[in-house]
Amino acid sequence: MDRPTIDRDNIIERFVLGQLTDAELDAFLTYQLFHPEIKTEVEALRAVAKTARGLTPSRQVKWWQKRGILVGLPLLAVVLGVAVWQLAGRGRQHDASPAPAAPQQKNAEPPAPALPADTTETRPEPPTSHQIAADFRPNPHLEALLGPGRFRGNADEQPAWVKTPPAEQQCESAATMCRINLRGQLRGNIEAIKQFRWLLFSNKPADFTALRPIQSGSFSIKNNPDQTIGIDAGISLRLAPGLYYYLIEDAESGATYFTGKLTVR
Amino acid sequence: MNEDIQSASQTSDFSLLIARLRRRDEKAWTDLVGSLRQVTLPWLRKRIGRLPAYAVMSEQEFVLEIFSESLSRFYTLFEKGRFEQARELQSLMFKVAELTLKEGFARLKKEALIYRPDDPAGFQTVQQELSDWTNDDELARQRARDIRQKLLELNENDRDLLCRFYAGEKLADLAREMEVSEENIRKRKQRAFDRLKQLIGMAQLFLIGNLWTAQLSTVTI
Repeated sequence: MDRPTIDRDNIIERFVLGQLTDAELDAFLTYQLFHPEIKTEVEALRAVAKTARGLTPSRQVKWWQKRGILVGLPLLAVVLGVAVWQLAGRGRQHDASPAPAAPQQKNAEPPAPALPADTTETRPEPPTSHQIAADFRPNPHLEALLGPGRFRGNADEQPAWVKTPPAEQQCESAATMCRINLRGQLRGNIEAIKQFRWLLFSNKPADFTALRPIQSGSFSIKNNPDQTIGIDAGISLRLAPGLYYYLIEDAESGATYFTGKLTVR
Repeated sequence: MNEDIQSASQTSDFSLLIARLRRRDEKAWTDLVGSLRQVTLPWLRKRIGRLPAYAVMSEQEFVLEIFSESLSRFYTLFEKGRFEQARELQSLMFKVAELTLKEGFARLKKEALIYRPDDPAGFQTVQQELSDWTNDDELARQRARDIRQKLLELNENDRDLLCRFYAGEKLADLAREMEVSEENIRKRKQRAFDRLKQLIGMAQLFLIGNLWTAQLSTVTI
């Protein structure tokens, strides 16, 4: 094995993920013995893979999600349906001819128990996504991002904050609509700023890593006389008590420009 | 040991094989690696069984990581040792693998703290059990935090693709789900990884790699 083959066949990545054939594995391990400097690359990629996994909520496949079950169950239902339909058809044919005297009540089912008198009771509605978060535990991913984002690029083109929205906001009562102020001023390319959107997340790490915001939306953009560009989003939401995070990001590149948190008490 | 190595032993060509190995003959080493893989991997799989929930890798990846590290140590020790029979090579490999496995299990716990710091599954237990947290471990944790932050700076499509790919999902499955060709998803994954490399900086990435390789202590058996 040689370096061009390693690069061409993506050997390091496939090695880290355990996808090499036996022959490739033996050859690469031998190469590694003779060229120990490649271990640095292997370990670097391992670190990236492990970090990515650390961000991914465990995706254990439940028994009902397995492919065999997913295909098999509907098939079984169809087969059973056809069988029942055919049996019912035969039953109707038999009904047409004079029926023999059936044994009285031999296979009759017991009478169904009476329903409770009060049938008006309604099931409580399942909680909506924005009612689920109800604790105040900080999300370490988002805590690390709090404040203006650190982004790279051409400083003239890249939007830069003149005035950021508040980094922390509070809603005192969960009973009324919670008003979130996302007003700020930036300098930079207005076309880039027009791509901005806001996202509101619960404090659950899984919601953020799976990118399931409670709500998201765009900003109204205004050119200010002082050459700055104003962004504004008036958000009114009914939220359960808990900790929430709002992000302002470029919808196209996904770069995060601002992260703040909202406490609903 | 596979047939080549066994036959070398049986026909007294073992000394010839050892001489080729000492000359760093690539073919001889590839054969030896293959034969050691055949006996060591099943043993490692049996010893490892199922990894704890906090592990950031699959059993198969852990087995390969341990085997690869064991092999590096075996290679160093081979240069210093004298071997009369093929089974002595195998015996050395098992001793090295045993030691590497022990260290590997200890590292699994550290890696849980380094790479999965906010995962509630077993995190507290791991934290309480660890008493040998070193400066290098702390450095590794800081660097993993840097990688995590850069991953979070990627756009959601790139991040999702990379995370799912490195979590073990097949490109073919991802392509089917996203209704694009496998080639397309492969290119997207590569572009996402290139963007991540740009964000992290290769120099920083290699520092992380160096940190771990430096932790593979030399071993005397």
